[in-house]
Amino acid sequence: MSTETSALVSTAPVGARPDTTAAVARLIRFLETGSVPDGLFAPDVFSDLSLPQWRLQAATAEEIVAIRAASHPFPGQVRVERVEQTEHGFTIEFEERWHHERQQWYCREMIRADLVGDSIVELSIYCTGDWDEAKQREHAEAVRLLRP
Amino acid sequence: MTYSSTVRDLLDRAGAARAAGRGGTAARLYDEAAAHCRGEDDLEGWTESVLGAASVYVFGSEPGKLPAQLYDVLARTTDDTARARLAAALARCWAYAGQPARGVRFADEAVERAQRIGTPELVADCLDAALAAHWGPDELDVRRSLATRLDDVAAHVLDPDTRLQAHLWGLQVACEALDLQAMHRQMRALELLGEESARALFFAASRRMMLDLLRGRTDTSAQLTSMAAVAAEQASLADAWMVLKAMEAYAAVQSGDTGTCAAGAAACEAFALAEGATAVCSEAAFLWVCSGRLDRARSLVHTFHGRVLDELPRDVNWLLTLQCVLEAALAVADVEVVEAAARLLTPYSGRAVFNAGAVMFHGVTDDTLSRAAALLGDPDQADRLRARALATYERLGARWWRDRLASSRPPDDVSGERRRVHLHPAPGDLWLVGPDQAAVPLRALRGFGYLRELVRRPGQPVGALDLVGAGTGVAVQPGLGEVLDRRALAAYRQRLRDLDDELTEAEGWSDAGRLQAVRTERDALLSELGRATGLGGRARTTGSSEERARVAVKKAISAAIDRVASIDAPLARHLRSGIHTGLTCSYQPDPADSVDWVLD
Repeated sequence: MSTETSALVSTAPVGARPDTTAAVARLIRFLETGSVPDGLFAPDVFSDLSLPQWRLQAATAEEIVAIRAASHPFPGQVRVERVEQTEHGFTIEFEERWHHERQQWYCREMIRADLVGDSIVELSIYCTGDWDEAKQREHAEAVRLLRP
Repeated sequence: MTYSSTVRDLLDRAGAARAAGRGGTAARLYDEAAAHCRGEDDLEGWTESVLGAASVYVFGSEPGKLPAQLYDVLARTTDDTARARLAAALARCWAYAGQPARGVRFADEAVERAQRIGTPELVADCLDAALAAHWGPDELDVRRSLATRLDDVAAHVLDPDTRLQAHLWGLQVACEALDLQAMHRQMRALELLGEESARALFFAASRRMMLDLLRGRTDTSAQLTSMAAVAAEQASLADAWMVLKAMEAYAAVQSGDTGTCAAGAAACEAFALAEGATAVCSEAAFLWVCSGRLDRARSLVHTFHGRVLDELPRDVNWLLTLQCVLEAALAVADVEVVEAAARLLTPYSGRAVFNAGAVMFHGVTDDTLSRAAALLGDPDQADRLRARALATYERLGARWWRDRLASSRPPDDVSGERRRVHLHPAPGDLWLVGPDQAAVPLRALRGFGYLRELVRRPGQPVGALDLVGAGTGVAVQPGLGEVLDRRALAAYRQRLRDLDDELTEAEGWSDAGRLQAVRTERDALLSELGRATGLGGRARTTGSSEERARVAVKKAISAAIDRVASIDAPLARHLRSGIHTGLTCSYQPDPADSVDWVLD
């Protein structure tokens, strides 16, 4: 996470809205390990994954895990850039890095999660798609990011 | 806590480095520990590692990736206590890095969670973070309220560090409110704490010196600086050296030790450049002024031109930076910076200015604003602010500050009096320049000679060529021709008039396309005419003896007046406004600003 963006917002503020810190922490754990912490997903959780040129949906936790495992073999590392509490849950912006087929992969994602209690009932996921090392190099040579 | 042996070892070594005052080493070890913990999926160890790194972060320096690390851990943390500690550290980190707005929400979360838990030490730590996040010039009332809450909480704890934080904030707020009774009360509490811990003793000694200097006492400075240095060594305080440097430099300011003051200025300037610390840069400028090095002060003041002051973050250093910059700009008569700083400070007239944590007193804004008003030609405002500043200094017993302001006479006070000013050669290729009793020998400059010839003949035009020749019989060469011949010049001017008419017409019709085209052509013509004409639109010749003399005299006089400004800003102002250069030059002094020149 860049120092520029890291504190533009706080993680789930306490008080007026329900505390989403547990769900945020569990989701990060799932993203990094692939194992689903108890209570993270409601049994009928719906997810809608938008990729650069593709779209997938799932209606159960098992299907979400399957989609995830197919694209991001575990374990990986998540770097959280920003968490915003919303009316029904939270949004989280992050980057992921993982090792697969002798390469370091990278992607950035934004997830909107709706909660009931501490459990996620709906996920909307926007992903840049997976960048292999060649793509990362190409990008680094072509673009100088203001906030890396 | 059950960390792996690697992490335990790293944390132990980091803790030892911190205890020994080696903050940089500690930070690297904490960082390494954080990476290990992350790899080992050890959130507890990761938390301790990043909190450790935050504990050695130096106030005012670039925070690097520390906020990002703290945030990354915070996002994974659900435990109230850990979240409160992390959020407090993050809030402090942003505040210390000069970006308090980013820290406010973390501070709010920290305080709320800490109060939910109810542990006094944790609540105090989080209130400290909240105070740091609300340290801007517009939040004094918030600070008062938070400091009162912190004082209440700290009253119930034994931990000396917690009580120290509470008293330091109490002192800070008392200072900002110029509540002398509360300042004495908090100082006494700090000194009592100093009997319990070396850390508290460092703060007690350094703040006692601040209070003594505020009240014009310099006889205690050496002893208090020494006491603070010993305590800092014992307590291994990471950024104590900065405070110790400030203590030495500001004591030197009041005792007139220009050498020590200059050393402090140089140290501040070096740190400011290395860290990009704007507030420290402004302090360096002020210290250069106090050490008599107006040339160094001027070069730093120059860095505050443009929109730099407007874009300063409204954080803990905002008032301090503006106050110091204004002090330095006044000393070197940099009107542009004086105007900008005074404009920004005016809504804060009547405020006291202290370095962060009440390290040092920097006067009241009424003081600098009164002098700025005098310089900028508002004598009524200057008088009003000056009287108020003097009354404040009198009430506080701030003798040095009172005497300094009282002796700085605004231009109006000078009017009617004639002062003797030297401007003549002295033995050893030097010139003696400046007011009687305080004239300074300066290395000879050609411009001093031109100035002397002009002030010798007030009101009389003197040819630039005559100044350059100075009676040596310079051969007059014809010019190589005007830059534009007169027919072309007349045609340009006619076209300019036509364009002005077209501009008026296009504006009336709101014809944006035509407006742009006309403006572009007009700007190009004006630029060309400006290059080809001098003052009053007269054709400028190039290559003639007269023209070369004009340029040479103008440059030489400008350099000479700049040199005068480094030793006597009012005299430089007088010369700038009275000397006119061109093909003929003259000295036309303001009758209200009379000078008796000593020219031989």
